[in-house]
Amino acid sequence: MIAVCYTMRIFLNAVILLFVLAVVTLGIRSLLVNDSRYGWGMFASQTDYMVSYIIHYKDRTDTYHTGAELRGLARIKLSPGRRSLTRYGIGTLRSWLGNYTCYIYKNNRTEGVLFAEARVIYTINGKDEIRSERIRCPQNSDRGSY
Amino acid sequence: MKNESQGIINLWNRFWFSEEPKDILCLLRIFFGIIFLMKLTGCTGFMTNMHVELSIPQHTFSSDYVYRLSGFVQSVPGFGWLPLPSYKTYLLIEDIVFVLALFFTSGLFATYTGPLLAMLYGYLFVLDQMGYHHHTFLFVIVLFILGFSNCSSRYSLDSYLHGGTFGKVKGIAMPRRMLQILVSAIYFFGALSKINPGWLSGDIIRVLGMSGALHGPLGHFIMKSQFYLPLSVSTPILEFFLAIALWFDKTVRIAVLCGVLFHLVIDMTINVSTFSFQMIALYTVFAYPGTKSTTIFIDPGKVKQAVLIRFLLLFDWLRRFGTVVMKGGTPAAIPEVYTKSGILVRKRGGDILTGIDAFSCVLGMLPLFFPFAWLIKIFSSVRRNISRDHNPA
Repeated sequence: MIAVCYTMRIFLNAVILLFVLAVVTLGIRSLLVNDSRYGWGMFASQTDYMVSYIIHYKDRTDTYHTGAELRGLARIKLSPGRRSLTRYGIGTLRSWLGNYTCYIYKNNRTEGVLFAEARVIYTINGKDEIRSERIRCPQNSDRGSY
Repeated sequence: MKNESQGIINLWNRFWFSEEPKDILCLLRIFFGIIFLMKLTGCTGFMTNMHVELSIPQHTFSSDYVYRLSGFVQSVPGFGWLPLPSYKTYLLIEDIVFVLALFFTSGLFATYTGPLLAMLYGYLFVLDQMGYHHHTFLFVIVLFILGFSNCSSRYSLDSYLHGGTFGKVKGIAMPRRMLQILVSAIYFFGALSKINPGWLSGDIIRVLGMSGALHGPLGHFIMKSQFYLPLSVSTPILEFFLAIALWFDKTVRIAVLCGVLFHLVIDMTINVSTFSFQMIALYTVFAYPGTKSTTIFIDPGKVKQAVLIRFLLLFDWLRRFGTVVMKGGTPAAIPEVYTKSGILVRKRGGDILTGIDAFSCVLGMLPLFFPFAWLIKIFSSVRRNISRDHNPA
């Protein structure tokens, strides 16, 4: 009985530590990577963006047009050539695009394909400065500014 | 050194594992359950959208064509191994979640329905990140904490069917403490994320207004008055204040009042689904959990006091008051001089209050009426000053 209580107390302490650690870590992560999901950053920025997708081959590049794989909210947020808004920060957009670019790469992995790329232009908080980024899979993103 | 570490361990144990009545968690189960049912039926955004469409339950996906999980899916990191349900299975799970939420809120078989509800809703949440919202994430965390904390000992059908209480009426403070930390973290990180030039200059509220996001009654007012800068500066200050002030006895009431007003203003300005109501409901966890720690001495022969008892039965949701019926005499613990002055209250610390001070104390400890206690205190002190001016001796 004592052993059970002791084990239970250890388990509860572990749950507490994990919980506190998760709350703090996710909060700090959201600030560091500008991705307010899971970290309670609310209305920290308003990103207005437009995206396009390109598949790079050894000898050419092709524009990728999204198909039926984008549905509902994913279609609204990730469709190319369309202006969208997000309140969750540029880090969230990078995460969405990174995942989707990898999806494009995996599903179009024919001979000669080097990588898939998402090109995004965006403004933050309605400012005039237009920024751009290239997010590649399987390579890292390449950030730039017009 | 050994004494110091022992002291820290004792403090840790007292903070997390001290035993306390479960009434607060039971009450939160009902409040949060109702808000969760609002979310599941689409009754959200009362103050921003006047067209609330009620459907029981409201399904996330209206047709197979928009069902995201049959296309590109990005699950929450670490949960990619979970099987993806078909469209029909997804609808079925949502129906089951609705039924479980009804059971959990009413406290029927809550020991089983709580964990099951938390796990099923958590499963739907982690399947796809595209549908992430802060309020759904908050639902998942709170449902997990409440669901596994066995909070149906009071205010539940389980307790009603078992003649008053069901299971243990006391438990460890851990679930309440976890929720307190969560609320503070939400305000703290919410405020910290707003410490940037974009927010502090008022640009973000202006952009939100221009994009049509500020469409509640106050949203239109903010747009017209161009009240961006004061709002932008005061919001993180208020959030920092709430993150800290909710923890202290002396500031918790003013913090709750500020917090409720803050969330009502947000809800009247921008559509944040049920988030405002969730945060308001979570303030319950900052209430002092001492059941019947304040005593009211009642003379049932007096009409006013009989009315007071009925009032307490209706609104003492945190079960803070115990009553002692006085029949033709003074209780031994109370000096006789007090019994002549109407309502008599003995506080947690042993202080005895009478008359208008006692009434103000009673109101101050009721969740719905505590702001009125301040009004009565102000009225009482003004009256005292006036009478002192008239009778300086």
